[in-house]
Amino acid sequence: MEPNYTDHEDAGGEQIACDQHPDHDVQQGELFVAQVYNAIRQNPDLWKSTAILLVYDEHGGIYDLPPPARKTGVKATPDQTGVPGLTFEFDRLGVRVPAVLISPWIPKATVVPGPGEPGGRTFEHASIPRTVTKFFLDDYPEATRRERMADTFMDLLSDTMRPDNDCPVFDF
Amino acid sequence: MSNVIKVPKPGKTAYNPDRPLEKNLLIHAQVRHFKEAETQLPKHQQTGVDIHSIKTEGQASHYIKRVTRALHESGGRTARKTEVAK
Repeated sequence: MEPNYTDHEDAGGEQIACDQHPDHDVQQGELFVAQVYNAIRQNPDLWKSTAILLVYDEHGGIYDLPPPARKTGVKATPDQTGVPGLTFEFDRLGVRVPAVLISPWIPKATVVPGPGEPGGRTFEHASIPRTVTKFFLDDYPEATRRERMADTFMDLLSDTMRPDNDCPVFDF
Repeated sequence: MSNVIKVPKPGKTAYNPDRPLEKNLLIHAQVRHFKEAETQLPKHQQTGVDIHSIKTEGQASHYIKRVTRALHESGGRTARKTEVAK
């Protein structure tokens, strides 16, 4: 789901941007996430069959503590960049962005360690189509090389569904 | 009983459709893209809006809504294809 990117009047009244870009109100973005979560959480059929991935396209700011990771084996050739004369190889990731995977099938308090930590893993935005195609199609020959090299979120989902009273709801 | 997490609502001053568009680079660029898109539409479906007159987020939103509706109504038919059909 895409957020609302502008403050504007609509049939429903005042619509406050919930995209969390400056200088919009960040709390409206949190409210948007809570509304989506509650809508799924309060529908038992959806709740047991849905995984919500909350992810950002940008990191916010211009600095990150660890340097962006390299992605070896996925160098773009000049004809793949779409820009004549551009030789940038797109073989590195950007700075980190937050990602929260939400599902009753994920054990409580799960935190995936990052690069440099024991058992650390690196997800990227290509992990999203990779996970979706892996889940629904398993084998997907049309996947790009970048997608095929991306880690999936599949193993974070367990075989045990957490009890209903162990999963929070939002009040707003 | 599930744990209930309270989510605060934004303050009353959060809503500001008069926020200058130049401060919102994302929507500023989107307005230009929508202008480019609508030039591909048949003439009668174009808004005729001079995007330089769009100064605020609220105005940008209104313009994007109009072009989006026109794009949907066009069903993907461009001006060139329409002319050929005639």
